[in-house]
Amino acid sequence: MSLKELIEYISQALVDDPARVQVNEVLGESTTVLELKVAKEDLGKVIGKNGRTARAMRTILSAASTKLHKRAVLEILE
Amino acid sequence: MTENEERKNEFVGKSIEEATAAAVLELGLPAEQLAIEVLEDPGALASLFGKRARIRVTPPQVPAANGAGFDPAAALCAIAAAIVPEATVRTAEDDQHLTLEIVGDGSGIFIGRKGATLEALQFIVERMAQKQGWTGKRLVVESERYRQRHADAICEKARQLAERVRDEGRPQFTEMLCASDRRLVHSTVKEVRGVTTHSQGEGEMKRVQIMAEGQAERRDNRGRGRAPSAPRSTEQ
Repeated sequence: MSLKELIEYISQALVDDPARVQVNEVLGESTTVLELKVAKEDLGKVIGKNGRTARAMRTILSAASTKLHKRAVLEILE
Repeated sequence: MTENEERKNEFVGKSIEEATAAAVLELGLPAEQLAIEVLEDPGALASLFGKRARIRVTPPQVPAANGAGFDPAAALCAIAAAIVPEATVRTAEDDQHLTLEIVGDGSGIFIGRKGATLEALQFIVERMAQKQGWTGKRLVVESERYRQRHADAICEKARQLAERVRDEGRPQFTEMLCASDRRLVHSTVKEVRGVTTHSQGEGEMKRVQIMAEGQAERRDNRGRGRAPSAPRSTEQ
């Protein structure tokens, strides 16, 4: 599973409308940016109270990217 | 099985048949699917004397993964495999928890700094489970015995502090701890005579003050509501 698929997998399991989960991978020189888009109503589901869900996803993402000797950041688009 | 749960599956009636009918109605399952154990059989005429039939029924065994098809081990395994491709998940159960142990490459990658990755994995799996209607036991994500080792370290530290308070008389503080760690401190210190504990601070993370028993009341009254020296919030 790629980093993009990882974020897709987690997000789809958390939202009401999995069909509208979209992850865009923007490859940079040293950093990969993953842009997560979800239905407006699901924004809270992927962010969580005090941003806890988003933070947990970022922590998991950084564990996965460390292993690949890459840097990846998660951006949640509104 | 606790006493309460046992009681829950006991049914009474004027006869065995009536008790069984009550069980069928309550559990919503046909009688042939229930294992029925007769606890008290009053016999044919006993109802005249106010005696009652009592039975215990055991519903068919429900598999552990009973959350409307959600399999927490499979979900965690999918995520873990994105980090370490060969990672697998082993499960173990006790009466309250379903522990999902990630077996990876032994590098501690699933643990992270101060268990941060383990916490994140647990949080996400809990959230997924909640969303997918999981009604099973509390989920615990574990890797390389980190939680066990961490709990042991907290208990050991608490015991040391408590003994120091007992011997030197001055109150001591633990570090900022989460609720489950504080609980470990309270219960460990309880085993040391002459000392008592009190949580101080606000928010999810608090310190535990360990003090001599005689001091408790006085310090409590004076220091109520006041933060311990140098309160640092670790919450963002």
